[in-house]
Amino acid sequence: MKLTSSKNERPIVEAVGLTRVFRDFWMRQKARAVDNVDFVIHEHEIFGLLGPNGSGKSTTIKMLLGLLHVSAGRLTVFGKQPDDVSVKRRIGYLPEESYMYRFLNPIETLDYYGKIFGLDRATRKRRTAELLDMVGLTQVAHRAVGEFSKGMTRRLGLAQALVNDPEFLVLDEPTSGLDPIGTRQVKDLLIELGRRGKTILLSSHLLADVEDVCDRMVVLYGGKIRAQGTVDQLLSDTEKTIIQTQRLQPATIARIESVLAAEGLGIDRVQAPRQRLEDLFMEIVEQAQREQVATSGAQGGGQTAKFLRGDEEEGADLIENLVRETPASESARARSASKPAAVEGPRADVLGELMKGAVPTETAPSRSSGRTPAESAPAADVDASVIDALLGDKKDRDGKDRSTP
Amino acid sequence: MIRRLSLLHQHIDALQERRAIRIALAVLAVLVTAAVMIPMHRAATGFASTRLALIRTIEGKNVLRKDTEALALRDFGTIELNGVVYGGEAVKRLGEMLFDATGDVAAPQRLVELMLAGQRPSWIPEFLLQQSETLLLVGLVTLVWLQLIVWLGLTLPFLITIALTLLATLPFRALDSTAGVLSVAGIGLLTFSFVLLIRCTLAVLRGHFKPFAVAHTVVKEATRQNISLAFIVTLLVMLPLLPLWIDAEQPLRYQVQTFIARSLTLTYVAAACMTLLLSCATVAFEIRDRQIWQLMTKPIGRFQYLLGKFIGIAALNLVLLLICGISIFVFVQYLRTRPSADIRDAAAVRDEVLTARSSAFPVYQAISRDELIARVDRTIAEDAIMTAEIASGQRSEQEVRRALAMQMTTNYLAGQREIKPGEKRTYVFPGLGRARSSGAPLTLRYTFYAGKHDPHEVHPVIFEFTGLERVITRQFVPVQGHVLTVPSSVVGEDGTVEVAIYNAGFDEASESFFPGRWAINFDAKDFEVLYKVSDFEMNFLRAVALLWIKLCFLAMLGVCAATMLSFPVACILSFTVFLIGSMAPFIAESLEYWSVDSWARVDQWVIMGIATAAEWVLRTFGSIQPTAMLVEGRLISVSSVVLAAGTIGVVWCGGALIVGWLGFRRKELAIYSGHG
Repeated sequence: MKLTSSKNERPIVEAVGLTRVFRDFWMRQKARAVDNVDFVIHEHEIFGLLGPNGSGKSTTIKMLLGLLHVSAGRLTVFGKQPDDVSVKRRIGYLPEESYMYRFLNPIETLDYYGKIFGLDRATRKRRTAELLDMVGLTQVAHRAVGEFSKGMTRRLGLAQALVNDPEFLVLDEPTSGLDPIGTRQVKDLLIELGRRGKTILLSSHLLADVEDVCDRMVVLYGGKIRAQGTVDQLLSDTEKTIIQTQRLQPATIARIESVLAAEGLGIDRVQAPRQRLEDLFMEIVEQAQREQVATSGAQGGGQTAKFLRGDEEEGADLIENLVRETPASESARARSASKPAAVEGPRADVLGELMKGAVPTETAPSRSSGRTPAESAPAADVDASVIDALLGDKKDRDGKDRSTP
Repeated sequence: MIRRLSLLHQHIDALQERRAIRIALAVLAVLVTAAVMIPMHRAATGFASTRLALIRTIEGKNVLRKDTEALALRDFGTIELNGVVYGGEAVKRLGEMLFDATGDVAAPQRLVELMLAGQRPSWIPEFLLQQSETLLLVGLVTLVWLQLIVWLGLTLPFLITIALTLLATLPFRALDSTAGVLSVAGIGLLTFSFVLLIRCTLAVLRGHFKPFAVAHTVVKEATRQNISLAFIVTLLVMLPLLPLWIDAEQPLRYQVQTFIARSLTLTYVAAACMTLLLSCATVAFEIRDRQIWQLMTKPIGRFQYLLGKFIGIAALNLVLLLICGISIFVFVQYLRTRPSADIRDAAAVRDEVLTARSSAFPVYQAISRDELIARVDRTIAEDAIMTAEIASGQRSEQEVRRALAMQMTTNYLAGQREIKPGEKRTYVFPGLGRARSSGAPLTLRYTFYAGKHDPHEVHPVIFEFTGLERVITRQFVPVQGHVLTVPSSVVGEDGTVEVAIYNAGFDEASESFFPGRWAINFDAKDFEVLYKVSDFEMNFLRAVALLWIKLCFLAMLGVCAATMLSFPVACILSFTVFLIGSMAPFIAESLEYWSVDSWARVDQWVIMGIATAAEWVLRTFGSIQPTAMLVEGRLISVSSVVLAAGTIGVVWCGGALIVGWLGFRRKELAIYSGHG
């Protein structure tokens, strides 16, 4: 299935008919890990590669990085062959497992990779300190990696993928082995990097990770693309409408139902919204951190490294990046909101009837549309009496609470 | 308590990082070194000049000629030099032993040692006192060493090492074991020096060259992983303990030779094993454990990667050889000052072991062409069977004539190396003009065969050198090597040495000559004249250089083998090449005596083929044996080092690198990790 895009950004990765066949010693076909896959990754977008175990995600990434040869088809990265050494200067890679040198400590590890990228000593030193602070490994900077837990190794792996401030970041299961704190930090980092215009290829089978950060994605199964598109295109259910309000009394609900019944509609479900488990977990941890409770594990990560935020000396480029608005950066900004997305396009006539004359209320901003609460407010001439009737005159225009009968 | 010590350690460590403190320590190091070495050098120089002046004063003095100095020695046991009287009762007590049969002062050097025994400064080690050049070298090395310690921030570890070493020597001091104290101190010194040089190496490898980055990590890997650390520690511990296993009752010559042989062999073998294992492991394990995925997805080429691995291991070997080489050299300088068994022993140490000698072989006459043809024709004519076979076509005449010619040529040459009982044969050694001008004594080395080659028998032989008034009678044991030292005056003005060998003996009782019982014969390589052309010091340096070149090849071999093979297989291949290479001379010699029983023995043909091919390929590697040459006091020439560097260092290493790179450049580093 060919994946096309209308974006005008230049393609960073182009795969046409990409195929990878593994053969045994006798050259018999053992597995067709990737089968005639076409996709394009554009500049400045966060691209998701989804699929269950064995679907060909990691194989695709390995071909992209020159670790495996292509059996058939064409694959280019920055317009060149994947094994071109000059291309690798612009890439950061985090494999599905972080394979570190056990005898080196984090500082030595990052310094080593920094040398490979040709960074000067001062830059290496500065970036090493910032990256270790960012991933929360400053306290163990002089400890051998062989003594690390899986999560700590993973954090270091993320740091080494960023040491060269890459244009194109390839992350294979980046949150694997991380606790929810680390997972959240990684997702925030990815969003920030996306905001800064990085191109990111994110491979994962943890759907929540991908849903929160990606612009576009493909879903692989058996080496083939099964679905493709933007997050909204793939996930939106345009057949339903969700309206979120403050807590309603049963009588109010009954009135709403009667209004909907007049349109031939009904209420599928009425429930109190639930806080996400991740949010609850983060609240508990943040509270513990504020109380300065001791922990022997990795510390919570610090801020995103300055050089990744673009706070370093390249001021002109940074300003230009901030000033230049791109669709990707717009959607990334919108993505930073924590509330769940609202579905576009509620039936205007129903809403209008409900909202006639009502005081404008705040609605959750749509992540995909990027609309702000102000843009969602109804017209000033809406008749509030309907709302008053529905709500049992809980509030009048003056905002006084008249919830008591 | 531990926490306080740790805090103190951190505080002092931070203090020594400050530039001002480092400058102060560096100046202090210079002052301390100067304060110790300058007086030491002055005393050693003064002592050496006094010794030399005394030797010159008494050398050649004859009591029969009533020379003043000789008479003073006989009557008072003293010599006066520059208003100072040397000697005394101890010398006088020697009496007639002071002079030889001709009346000359016997062993002037030993006599002077005895005279100066009471005036030797006791605070200076003996071997430094006798060798002011070594003293300068020690001073320079110490100065550089201390400066490196200061500027690499190792002052505190150095002080801790000293403290721990002193603690470790306490039990040996209690047992009054000087050798034990020295060995433990040597272990501490070697270990710290190794750490110091590794730090220097890491500092050098900080350059922007990408292979240096890889090499930097390899050096760290070697010093932190057990696979290599085991050999390094073994070497650093065993080397200082070697002197404990030298038999002090042996003649000094054998002590020195034994120490040189064992120490260099231990160093080379340990370094070689470490090199092979580390070179295979560093690549194979990175591929197996997938660290190479994170490296090869960065801007570094595969050639640079392999080169970096090689540079790292070569640098590590250089450090090891430097450390061990310096310690071996310094201990040899100390050993040579130990008392020798007798004058001959002392002379052997000086002239046959701690020297660098070149060799000359006698010129053998080649059979003339006409003579050869005549002999071949005569042989064919006299052999009716051979004539008939040629006539009937069973054998080709050309083939028969060639075989006969080769055999006759060989026999003709061998015949010149045979001396029948009662006969003599004269041999001329050309190209010895340099030996004549140096004035150093020559050594005739010979290994004769006689009778049944029974090592329990002795046979007489007499040597007559042109230029020597008297003949030299000896007895030799078959198969064993013997040496005969002669003065350089035997070399003629044309640079040749002429020696006649008599297969006879001299009976002192009847004062008559008698013939030997059996014919004497010898191999071409077992009859040579050795003469000094260089010093032991430079020869030692060249020997270490050759060892390093060989280790470099082993490093490249392991690295490139591991690019295509797993760790165990790469190790097997590398060690096999190493062993075959080391044994190549033995294999070549064995092949001369080995033959296939019949055409049907395919297994023997295969063995012979493999052995011949392996020996041919690795001949150069096996022929380079610097340890053996050093032990025998043979010259390791600059040209041989350059040739080895070019052949093994450039061609072989380069070839291995290219082969490894060709296999590695298209290798898929990732593997299939799915189902099926």
